[in-house]
Amino acid sequence: MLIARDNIFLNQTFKDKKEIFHFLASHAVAQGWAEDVDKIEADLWERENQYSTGFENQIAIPHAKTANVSHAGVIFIRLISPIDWESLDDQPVQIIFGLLVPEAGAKVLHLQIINSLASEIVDDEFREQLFAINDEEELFQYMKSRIAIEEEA
Amino acid sequence: MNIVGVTSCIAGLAHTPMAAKSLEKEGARLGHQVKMEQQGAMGILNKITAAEVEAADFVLIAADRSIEEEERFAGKTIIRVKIGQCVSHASDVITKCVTAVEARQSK
Repeated sequence: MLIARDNIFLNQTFKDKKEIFHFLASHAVAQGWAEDVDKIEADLWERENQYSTGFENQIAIPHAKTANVSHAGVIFIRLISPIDWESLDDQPVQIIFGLLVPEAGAKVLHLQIINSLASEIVDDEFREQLFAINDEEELFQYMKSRIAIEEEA
Repeated sequence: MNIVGVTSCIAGLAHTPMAAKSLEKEGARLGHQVKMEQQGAMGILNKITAAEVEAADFVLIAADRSIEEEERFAGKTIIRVKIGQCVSHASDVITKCVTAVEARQSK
């Protein structure tokens, strides 16, 4: 499943963007979405270097659409302490949504879920809950309830 | 005002829907009618019709790549903005555009 309990990480400690990208890439390989950690990291940097994926409200959405990914994935990380992200408003980032999508042949359903998720992030109440909920299972259920697209297990 | 527009970012994953939703949400809050077409990873979503183009006061293009079917907007007032701004500062973007268009209309 695209939004999954296994891909939600609360109370994390990372020092900087570089460590986060390494974690996202490593998790993608561990989950079988990709094979090469270095390549995924490079893909994330390639997009990030075009302009920052940090938004206001302490949320960043690093992402890559790349041939190095075979299966779409969404990884949610919430940090204990915010880190610098060179975001548009220069605010540090505490929540990271990592998005990985295959260059071609991504499932339409997965693209719909990612689109719906990105749209929800604009909603004040959704964002508040992302910061407030303190249990990974509960947060998973909340996200699922807000992304009104069903996916078969 | 009646505003239509297009959002389109490099990967078509995050900024495209976020900018579209921010502009629609903040536009409505400011009392405008806003419809944003998304040109992203899924192709064209929420497509703007010819009648909607006709009725619009101006066209807002928030894209960091060339958009599809721009010829639809020939003859309209077109304002181009950076897509990143539309996610974080949608209300400022709309207010600035509306002020500029009003100034032009009153000439």
